[in-house]
Formats: sequence, structure tokens, C-alpha cells
Amino acid sequence: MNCIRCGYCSACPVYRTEPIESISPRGKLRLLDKMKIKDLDARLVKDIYKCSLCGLCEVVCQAELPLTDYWERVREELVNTNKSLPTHKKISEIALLYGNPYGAEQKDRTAWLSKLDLKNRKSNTLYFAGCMASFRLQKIAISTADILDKLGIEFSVGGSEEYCCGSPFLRTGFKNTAEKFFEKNFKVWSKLGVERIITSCPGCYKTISRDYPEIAEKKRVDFNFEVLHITTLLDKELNYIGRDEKIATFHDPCHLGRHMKLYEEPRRVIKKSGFKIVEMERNREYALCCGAGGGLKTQFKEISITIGRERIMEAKRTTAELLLTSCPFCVHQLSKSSEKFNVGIKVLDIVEAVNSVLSK
Amino acid sequence: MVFKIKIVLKSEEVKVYNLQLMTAMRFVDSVEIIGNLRVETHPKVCELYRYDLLDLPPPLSRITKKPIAVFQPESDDDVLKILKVAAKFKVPLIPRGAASSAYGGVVPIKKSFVVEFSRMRKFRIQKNCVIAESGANWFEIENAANRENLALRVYPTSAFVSTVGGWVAQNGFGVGSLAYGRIGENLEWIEVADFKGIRRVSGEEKWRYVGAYGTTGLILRACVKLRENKPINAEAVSLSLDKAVELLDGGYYAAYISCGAMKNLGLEGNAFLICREGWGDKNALGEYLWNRRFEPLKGINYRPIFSEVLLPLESVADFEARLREFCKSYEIVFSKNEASIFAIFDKKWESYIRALKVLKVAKRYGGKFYGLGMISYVKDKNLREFKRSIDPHNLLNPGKAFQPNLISKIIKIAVMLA
Repeated sequence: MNCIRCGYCSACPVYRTEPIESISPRGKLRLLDKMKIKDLDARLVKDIYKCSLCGLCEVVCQAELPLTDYWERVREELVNTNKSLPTHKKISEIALLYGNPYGAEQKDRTAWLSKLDLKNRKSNTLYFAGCMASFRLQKIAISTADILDKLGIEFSVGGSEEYCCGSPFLRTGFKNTAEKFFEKNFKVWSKLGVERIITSCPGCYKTISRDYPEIAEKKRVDFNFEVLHITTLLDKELNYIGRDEKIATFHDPCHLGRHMKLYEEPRRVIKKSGFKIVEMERNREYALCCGAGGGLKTQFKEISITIGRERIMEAKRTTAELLLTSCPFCVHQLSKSSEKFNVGIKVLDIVEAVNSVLSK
Repeated sequence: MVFKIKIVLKSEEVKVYNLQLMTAMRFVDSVEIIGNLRVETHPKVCELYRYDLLDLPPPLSRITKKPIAVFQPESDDDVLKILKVAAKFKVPLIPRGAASSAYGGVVPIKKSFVVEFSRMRKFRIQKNCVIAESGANWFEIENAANRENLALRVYPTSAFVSTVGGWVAQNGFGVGSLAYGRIGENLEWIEVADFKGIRRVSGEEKWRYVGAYGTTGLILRACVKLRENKPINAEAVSLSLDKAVELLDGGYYAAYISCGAMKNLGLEGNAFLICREGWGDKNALGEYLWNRRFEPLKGINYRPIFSEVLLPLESVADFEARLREFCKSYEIVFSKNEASIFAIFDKKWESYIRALKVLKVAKRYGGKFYGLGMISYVKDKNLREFKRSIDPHNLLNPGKAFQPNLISKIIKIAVMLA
């Protein structure tokens, strides 16, 4: 990596929370340039993992280095040399056992479906709910399915045959774990005759649309699925539906915005639903991360909480009534931050907001 | 290094130990002096504080030293404690902001303690000024001032990353300097710490610290003047440099971008950008170049070698004509009475020679180094005497700004030979 050491990457939210040079992208690049991975001690490994993979460093990098992918490759190498962090390793092991990182029973993946009449549906369009919306924030999965129904879009679901997409493991360096999930999901989708996959989680969206084709190529299988994030679909399919003109601000999830360049689609959906948008000071490609990604929350909770607090305070300053986002992890992190710091701003996923307007 | 230190134990018994410095530091830590100071001693992490943007060729880079420890003060008290420890152990202190400069001002050339101000970054906007701690970031200050319909008079083009203390210590000039001069001219006062305590200085006295790279005291905070946030009208045209110099009157910010530098932006021809506060014409190219003022290095996908010099306005056109013979990519930023020429070369061995040649040619036209730091020095008898009086053991950023060091001496000879 040809870092010019300009230091623009000091915008990194983790470095701003813990401003030690070995945590700044510039410092990490210098360390990795001068040292072999195998020679990194436990402290330096921890510092390298202090990163939410938000990709802001890549946006501000004056040398335009492809840093996000690079950090993932470094983590993969750390795992391959037995230098992974304990919590990440444990989650990977749990996921391999249970099919999801929460250690929940696979049969419980269908719990959100019980509120809808979705069983036995057949369609070549699959709604891939993802682990967070299936087990934790089921409202997101239910709202997404509800909206698709209301818009007359036929779809099926994987139910108990849906497995984790592998995103948490690709981000923390456990590529082999992710590849195993690829194999499982690919097998199910092939069996079901899936042609199009809709996701409501940007992590799943990035993984299935960007990482899976690479894994498929490595495994020499054809990967011919159209992959859409729900906001792209709604941007196309949704008419202007709302008029209540509540003021909302939008938090760009890193995986959707900086990683996949979907900035305007969610905003158009919000406007079509009748909300007025006021932007936070840092938005679109310069948006502050929520602090939950890249395995940061699981391993470095305090840093993650500090970043979450900063973001929710930024949302509060806009005077918006609602903080909308389009990622279950961001919803979880920011709503917890709002509660914890008594900020009093309601946090919803776009699909929840759209569905409530459609249901009026 | 071995130090003899006195430890007063809780039982009030006094013991004297011969200890390695770091062992002593740890011992003292557990007793009283350091208290809760944040200190980093991991050798590989400390190694990272040996650099800034400056890319010295290998023989010269070996002269720089890894710091013994990196302190991160969170308050004035912390800074005073660090000064106390440094005085006690006779260890030099190197103040450090964002290390986004290329003059080596923050690079240790002796075994030292680095004092890094990233945890002192608070600021508050007042009626016509901002009071900002040393580690406060210029871009954040500008955004906050804009919300109050105010704006910084001057800020560095590296505002996105650089700090108040760093730029004041360098007496830099940048955006707004055409109208308002260097940062030093826009300070109401600064607060500095040295071995005798903390003092607030203004008027003539501040020039003992502004541009002194922390050699006479550590900058704790500054009161920086603001302006009314009038819209900036930016216009860019293609014309020769001598014509451009005639159009500077009444401008807020002006820059001349060479064909080579424009090529890096995917554009053709040279451009003269002139920006005015609340008046004047504007055009699309002007807006584009104004909006990229914070990113002078964007798109350079190699580790470049820089050379930055200051020229009097009257000779800058003649200098540029000569510069064009061996440098394609450069940008000229204008101040009230002078121009800063930022020449960029790709990283090849001959580029080091060319970078030195820029300095040599500049001298012929009455020019000088833009930054001093570690790479150059000025002979200033008054400042040297002042330093001797407040820092008799030469512990505050030794070998910088107005003290020569091995690197600045070698560079001086190399410039003559280039």
C-alpha cells in the first residue's frame, strides 16, 4: 500500500475515539509495511482490529488506496496465522454449529413468518431476511414482507433453510466460515430455483452481490442471481404515498453507502413516503459510522458505544423526529444509543416507516 | 540511560535507586509525579511517532530517533506534569499535532518524549473569535463557525486533518492568507507552557512562539480571529503567472495551478483561481477548484517528494519560468506579500535532486524555505537568547527552527550542490 502519510485518514471514527497512531489507518499501514503479520504481538493485533470497516478512510484517502478490502485481507491473514480475536473466533465457531452467529436454533428462524401467511409460496424471487432481522429485529423482516405483498411483488422465503450470509466472518477474517455459508445458501437457492434475491440488510446485500460471486468463481460454480437491496426495489416500485410530512433524518449504513454506493435510493424512498429529510452534518460518503460494524461492537464495546453516542447526538442536532436508516445493525445500535443516552429520537428502519405509511 | 532517582515511600522513608529510564518512569508513575497521565511506551507504537509527511531518503532518515514514550495530555495540568518529568530526567519534549506537515517539525532527532495533543481538542466559538485547544481540528472549527454565520479568516489546505497548535507552531499560510496574512497575524493571543508554568502571550511577545515549532514553549490554546461568513465567489481562468499576479488585489484566496497539476485532476491547461469574499465573478471551474482546496494531494497515487518555497510576489513569475524547466506539477498559493510554491515530484532518486534544485533556484530569486522544522533553520539571535533563558537544557524540540541539526546542515550543503 503506497500510503503518502498525509494523515487525512485520521477522520477514522475509531481513531478519534482512541487517538493512538497504531489505530489510525496511516499507522496501521506503516506497521504492516514494516512488520510481518506473524511478528505482530497481541497489542498490535488488537489495534489493527480496532476498526469498524466503515470505509471512511478510503473516501478521504488522498492516495485513493482501496483500504476497506485491504483491511479485510489483513484480517484474513491474521486469522490464518492464528491471531484472531477471541470473541470473533467464538462467534465463528457458534455460527458453524448453529447456522447463525447468535447460537439460535435454525427452526426459530421462521418465527417472524408465523405472523404472515408466507409458507409454501413459490417464486423465483427470494426475500433473504438475514440473521439480525430473523432473530432479533423481526419487525424489519415482517415490514419488508408486508411491503412486498402490498406492492404485489411475488416472493418466497428460505425459512429454516436460510443460513447466515457470512458477512460477519468475511469482515473479521474468517473467510473459510463465510465460504461454508456460501455453499449452504447456494445449494438451497439452486434447489428453490431462485433467480432474484432481495435483502433488507446491507451486510447481506454486499456479501451476496459482491463477495459471493468471488467465492463462486473460486469454487468454479456459476453464480447468476440478481441481488437487490430493498431500497433499490422500493425506489423503482413505490409511488408517492405519504403526506404527513414528518421530519426525518437518514443515517447512511456503511455497507449500503460507502461500500455499495447507494446514497440517493433510500432518500428517494423516504421522500416518496411523505417524510421531509433534514441531513445530518456528515452524510452520504462522509457519514459517521454507527459504530457496530466490522466486529467492533463484539470485541471493543466501549469504542462502539462512544461512536454510537456521537452519531445519535448528531441526529439529535438536526431536530428531526425520526432517525431512519436501512440496516438492522444500525437500527439496533442507534436505538440502543438513543435509549442509553436519553436522546429521545426514535430510530426506525426505512421499511418500518414505509410500511406504516402504506398501512394507513 | 540510567537515572538516579529519589523515591519517597508511603512510610516517608526515602530511597535512592539507579534505574533505567523506563523503569524509573514506571516507579515514579506508581508514586506521584505522572499520576494518571496517558503514556504510550510500546516500542512499535512509539516508532510510528518518528514520522510526519516528510519522506527523507534512507541515509537521512536514520538520523531521526524513535521516541522513548508518547504522552497524550488531556489538560493543562497534564502538560505541566510532563514538563516536570522531562526536566527531572532531562529528556527532550517534541510537541506533535496531526503530523500532516512535511518539514519534520514533529520528528525526534534525539531520544525524546513526544507530547501529542490529540486529546486536547476542545474549542468554543465566541463573538469574533474562537478559543481552541492545541489539538483542535481546523475543519471542525470552520464548520462550527459557519453554523454561527462566522468563518475562519485563514486555515490550512490540510484543514481536514491538521491542528491549531501545529499550524500556529509553523506560522503557516493557506486559504484566506491573501486577504488576512499568515495565521500568526490572526491570533489575539496564545497560551503556552514551559518549565516555569503557563502564560498567555499576545502582541509582539507572541512571535516568540508563533513559527517557533514548539522550541520555546508548548502551545496549549489559541484565540483565533474570525470573519463574517460571506459567500466566496470563485473564478478560474487560464492565463500566465505574471498576469495573474496583477489580479490579486481584493482577493481572499488565489492559487495558480500548473498544467501538470491540472493533469492530475483530469483537466487541461493551467488555471489561475481567484476567490473573493462576497463579490466578483464566479464560474464552474472556479467552483470546482475552490471546492477541492482541502485536497491538494488527491489523485497522486504515488508517494510524492515535495519541495515548498516562499517567493516575494515581484519575483515569483521569473522563478516560475525557471521552475517550469524541471518541474511539471506545482501549485502556487498567494499571500499578501509572498507566494508559496508547492512542487511535487514522483518518487525517483533524481526527484530528490530536483526538489533540492527548487530550493536553490528559489534562493536566487530572493526565496526561502516555506517551513523550517527539521529541514532548515533561521539564524535568530533574539530567539536563541530567549530560548536559553527559558529552556537552559535545550529540552523543547531541540534542533528545530532556529537551531541547526545534522539533517538541516546536510540539506543546506545538498541545496548548494544541486
